[in-house]
Amino acid sequence: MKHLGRIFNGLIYAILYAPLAVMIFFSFNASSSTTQFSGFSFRWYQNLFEDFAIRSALQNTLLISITAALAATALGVIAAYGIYRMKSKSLKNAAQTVTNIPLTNPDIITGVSLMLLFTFVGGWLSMQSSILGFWTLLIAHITFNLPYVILNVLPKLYQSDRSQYEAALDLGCTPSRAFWKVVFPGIVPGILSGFIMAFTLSLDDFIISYYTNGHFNILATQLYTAVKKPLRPTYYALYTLIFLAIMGLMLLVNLTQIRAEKQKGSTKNMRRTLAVVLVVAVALVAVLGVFSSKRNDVLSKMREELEGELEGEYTRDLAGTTLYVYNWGEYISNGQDGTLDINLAFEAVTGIHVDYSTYDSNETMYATLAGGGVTYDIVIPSDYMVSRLIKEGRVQKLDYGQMSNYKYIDEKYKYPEYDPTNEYSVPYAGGYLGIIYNNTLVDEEDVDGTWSLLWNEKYKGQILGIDNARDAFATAQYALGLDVNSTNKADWDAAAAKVREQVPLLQSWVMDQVFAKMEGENAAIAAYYAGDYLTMVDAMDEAGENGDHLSFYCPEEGTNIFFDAMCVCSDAQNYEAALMYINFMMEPAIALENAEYICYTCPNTAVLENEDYSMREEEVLYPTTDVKATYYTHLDEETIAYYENLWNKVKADS
Amino acid sequence: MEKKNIIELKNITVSFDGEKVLDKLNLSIQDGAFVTFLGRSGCGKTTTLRVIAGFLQPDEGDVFFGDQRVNDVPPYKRPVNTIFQRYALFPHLNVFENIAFGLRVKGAKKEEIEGKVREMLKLVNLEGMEKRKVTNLSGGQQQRVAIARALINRPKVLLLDEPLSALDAKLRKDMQVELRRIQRETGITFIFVTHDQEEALSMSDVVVVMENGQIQQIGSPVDIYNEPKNAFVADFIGESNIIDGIMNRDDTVTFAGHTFVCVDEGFEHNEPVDVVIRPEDVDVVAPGEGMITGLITQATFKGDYYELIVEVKGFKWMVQTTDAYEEGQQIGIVLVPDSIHVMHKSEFSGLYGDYSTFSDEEDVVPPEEE
Amino acid sequence: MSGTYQGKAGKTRRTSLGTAILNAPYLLWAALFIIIPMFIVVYYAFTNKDGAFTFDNIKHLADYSGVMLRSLLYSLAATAICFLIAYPFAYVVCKWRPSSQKMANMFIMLPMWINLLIRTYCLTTLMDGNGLVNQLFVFIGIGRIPLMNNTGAVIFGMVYNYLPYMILPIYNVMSRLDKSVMEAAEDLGCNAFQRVRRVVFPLTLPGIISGIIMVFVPSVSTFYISAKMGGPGDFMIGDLIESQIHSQNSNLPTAAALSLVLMAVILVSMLILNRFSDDEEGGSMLV
Repeated sequence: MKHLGRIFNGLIYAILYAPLAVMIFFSFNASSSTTQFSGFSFRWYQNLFEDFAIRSALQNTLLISITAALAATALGVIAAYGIYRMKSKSLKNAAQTVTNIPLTNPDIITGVSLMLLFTFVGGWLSMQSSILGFWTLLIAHITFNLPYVILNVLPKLYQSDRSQYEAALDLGCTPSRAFWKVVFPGIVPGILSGFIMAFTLSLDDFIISYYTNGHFNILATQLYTAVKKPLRPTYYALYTLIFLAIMGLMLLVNLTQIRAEKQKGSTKNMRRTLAVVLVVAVALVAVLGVFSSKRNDVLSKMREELEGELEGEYTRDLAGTTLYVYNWGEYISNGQDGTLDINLAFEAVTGIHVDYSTYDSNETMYATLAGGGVTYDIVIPSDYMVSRLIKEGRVQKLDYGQMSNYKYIDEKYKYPEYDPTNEYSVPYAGGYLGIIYNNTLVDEEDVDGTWSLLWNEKYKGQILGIDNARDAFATAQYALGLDVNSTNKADWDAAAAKVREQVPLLQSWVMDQVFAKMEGENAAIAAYYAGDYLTMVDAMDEAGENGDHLSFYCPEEGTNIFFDAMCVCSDAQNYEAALMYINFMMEPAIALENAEYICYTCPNTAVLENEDYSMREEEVLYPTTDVKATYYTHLDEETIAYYENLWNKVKADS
Repeated sequence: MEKKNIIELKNITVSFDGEKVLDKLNLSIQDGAFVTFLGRSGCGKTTTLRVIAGFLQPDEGDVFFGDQRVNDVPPYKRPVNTIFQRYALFPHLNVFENIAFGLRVKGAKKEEIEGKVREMLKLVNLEGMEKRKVTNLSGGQQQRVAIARALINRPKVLLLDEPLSALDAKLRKDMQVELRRIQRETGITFIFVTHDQEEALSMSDVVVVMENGQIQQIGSPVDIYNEPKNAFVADFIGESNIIDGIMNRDDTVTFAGHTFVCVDEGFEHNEPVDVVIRPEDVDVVAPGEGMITGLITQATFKGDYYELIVEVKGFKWMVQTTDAYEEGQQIGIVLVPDSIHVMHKSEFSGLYGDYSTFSDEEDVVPPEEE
Repeated sequence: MSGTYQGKAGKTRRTSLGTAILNAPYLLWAALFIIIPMFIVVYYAFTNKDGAFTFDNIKHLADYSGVMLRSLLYSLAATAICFLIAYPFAYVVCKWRPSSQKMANMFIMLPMWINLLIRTYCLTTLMDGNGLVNQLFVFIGIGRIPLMNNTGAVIFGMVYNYLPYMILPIYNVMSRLDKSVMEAAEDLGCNAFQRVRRVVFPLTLPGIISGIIMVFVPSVSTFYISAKMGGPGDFMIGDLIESQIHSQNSNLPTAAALSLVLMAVILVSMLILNRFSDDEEGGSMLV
């Protein structure tokens, strides 16, 4: 019986820690894979110390957690004391009920309701810039931390001896002095545990932050975009360090407590423990500080390297300002593995800091812009979304005269369907929607070059559905021979019915998760974008030279061609810097780096003509035969509402 | 008439963390007796109780109920029930359900439970309280619920672990009487653990005095008081002056510089012994008339008597007398043979029975922690 | 409360000015950031895009009754499994030496310091079609087993992530149970099973209830675990709210109506749970 219990608990611990063991193990992987171990290395730890984005997110996370925990503790102690001293029972009950609301409300509701409040207030104040950011995040964190502080402090107050307080008053203390002298020391343990709990919760929160953080990136929100793709082991390295540090501290505290209890000399030991904890914490921060590369050094080095490489004129007049860029995830060269960190390079040259956020679908991007509460200078949506933004006046005209590198944009991408007057956008990158399949899992005779592969029952459970309404319905529309830009509801109904047929065959709905699924060979077939296919091949080659397992084709019934274009928002705060950034992106040297990194079709002639461009003959990007393809166009409001509703029902009913 | 032994402990040894708490303990308990384990905190009395109840497995030795060895019988199968120090009532059940608990576990019929609980409520004077929450009861009432809860199972033996220690003095006296009455009415063997010698002497048929994990003496309250076996028992039960002496021969003992006639026999020639003199057995006379003399260093009026601390040859005696004396007075002391009790030397010799550091405050023995 | 006096006679029961000043900041904060946001949710739930009052949003929810039922079932299953694991787990831990208990507790809390997103991600690398577990299965000849992207995986993901929230409150209550009460039960004839059923279980009910709330609430509203670990048919109410907010014609009224329903579901479950316990303070929510 005793052994049975031990085995049972051991098993639970094993399950609880298995994923963490995986995390620690693969943080030492030589390749970027999180499932194939190809050798021991400290590469990701080195990467961690060089990654400014993670570091700034870590700093922001600590800043928000500590500030929120401190503020919540201060406010919570006052609140608890107030509630404790309330004489009216009904008022007391009311206060405690209100305190319980954030505890029992799901995070998503707390987050959404606060977001609604903030954007409402932002709209009411007609704020030009983002209301969502540090302050709203701080308010949100304080709000969900408060109940924990109060519930930790209140019981201590009720335990405290009221006669001591009265004795202090009797001996001549003022009420506030009596509080500090007599009541406060008794509730210190409650305050401490409340503070620690608040700090932990703040550190760990994702959902509430996700709705209220705006531009203010913290680890959790950054992770949310990161975990959709095969996660860079850099995050494993970071969390391994955090895990080991916390474990070390907790072990230390526990062991000294256990020893103190045995020796009963507790206070002295506790103080010593506290001191050790502090020293370790300070040492950790110091290590991070000393071993991390200095941002300024990196910037000036980068600046020297770029000297003479650039063709445009870049003044430093706007140095010190910030440019807010909102782009697709994993869609810019970011300094990984010796590539150029373009945003950092831009800062090196112009002194303008790029605040970079990402989205994983046009719809998410649109909702964020339309929702208010947060503003961006540059967005990089796809064609049909560009039309919509132009039509709704959400983007503004560009001064092409200020962008000397615009001459490099291939003529065939100018005056596109989505921006017929060519006033609002500069093409960034594009490609085709197609089918990616794993040729080791799919029989070659089943690949007939049509969309029907996505409906092949033989591969039930191995097909990935594309998780956005427009693309998902488009695959069905192409397969059925329908117009993807139809405004006829019957067409959309037919497409929805076709997608419903597919649902039982699907493994799951994915957007960026497709990378992990296909690279890990967890699924066999997916509809996705040509450029991403090349990215997957690269990643698989790096992890274990399995890149040739994947194949891609554009189905013969026709498919979607898309182009993402850079636009400047109408409420941009930094218009000049935005133009400079777009011009910078078109620099032959920069565009080449970017094209190599993102693997999408590049519209820049300087790149296309460059011998060094490794993908210039890549059939998937630059097909030599005609591909039957159409752009999506912006549809009317009613049709969008109709198909989005259909989409939600398809997902909900399945 | 020799009664049957209901419980027998043979060579019981129990250790905690390498420390022996019970050391080769042997004990027989007769059916229907009121037995008290008396000793200081940590002497092993509660441990012995827990061995009998089955909460503790002895490292060595056997426990017999009647003729049956019960070492491996779990507590819930033993025909004993326990009253815990802090009653251990079930806070989630009301008075009725607490008392009915044992019967419900056995799966007794509803009517049977109803009837027996009423009977128990009557026995412990708690009629009309059945619906009350036990957490809202006074200490004395909780005590009664605990007794009823245990007795309803008709145990062969009831174990009581310092059940009165949490009650105030008045309630304690009442409960002592009450417990004695219940024991007589039910005829169940009671094993009662206490550190309070007065409680032990007034309630029990048999007192078992324990110290250092061993039994120091077993006997009736009168025997224990009058014929303590060693210095520990003498000191622990009532007040005693314990003085070093030499047993010259049978019925003659020398101490405090004087040779006395006594009634103790069975010692070796000139054997060093401990001599016990109870404070109330000392006759105080004028300085010249006594067998020995002493100087009063402290005199306290106690109402019906005076308590004197008297220095005799560098040793301080406690003396109780009905006559008034003052500090600094010289007195004579007379001891009749019956007032002298001679004991063999033991491991406790020299540790007890000197009143040189005596203060009037009684040592408060903390409740046993185990 | 029979033994405590409710204040001396003659003392006024009005809240003093000092107390009012003490309470002002928190009450203001609570009103601004707890109460008003709730009203905004209600407002959105009952207005259309032009701001006119309407019941349409609520009526439209009928379309999603399947999702709501599914969310409820999944989270109830996850909560039940958490309970079935956590209870014996805590029971076993409570039998250990105090120092071992401390360590056991620490190692339950430790994973919670690692962000849920990354823990779940690591879990998927283990359970995926070609994940580490399946690689092992293939290696020892069992072959691939679909562990991921199904209902079981979603529930497992919830159990994995929220199990500590069930263990800790149960353990906290259980470890404080009076040992002698347990002995009393044994003494009165309870075997191990009866002891749990008749004494331990009723006495640990407050811990169980807070455990249930702490697992059920995040489970029923999750949108990450279901999206990451579920199959195409495991769309949950949290996913729905999230997709209503982050969609092209951002549908806040429907999201608000869904939120309202979610709150109602939770409120009702709490009321049901409260019938089982007479814990007035609600303080056992504390971990």
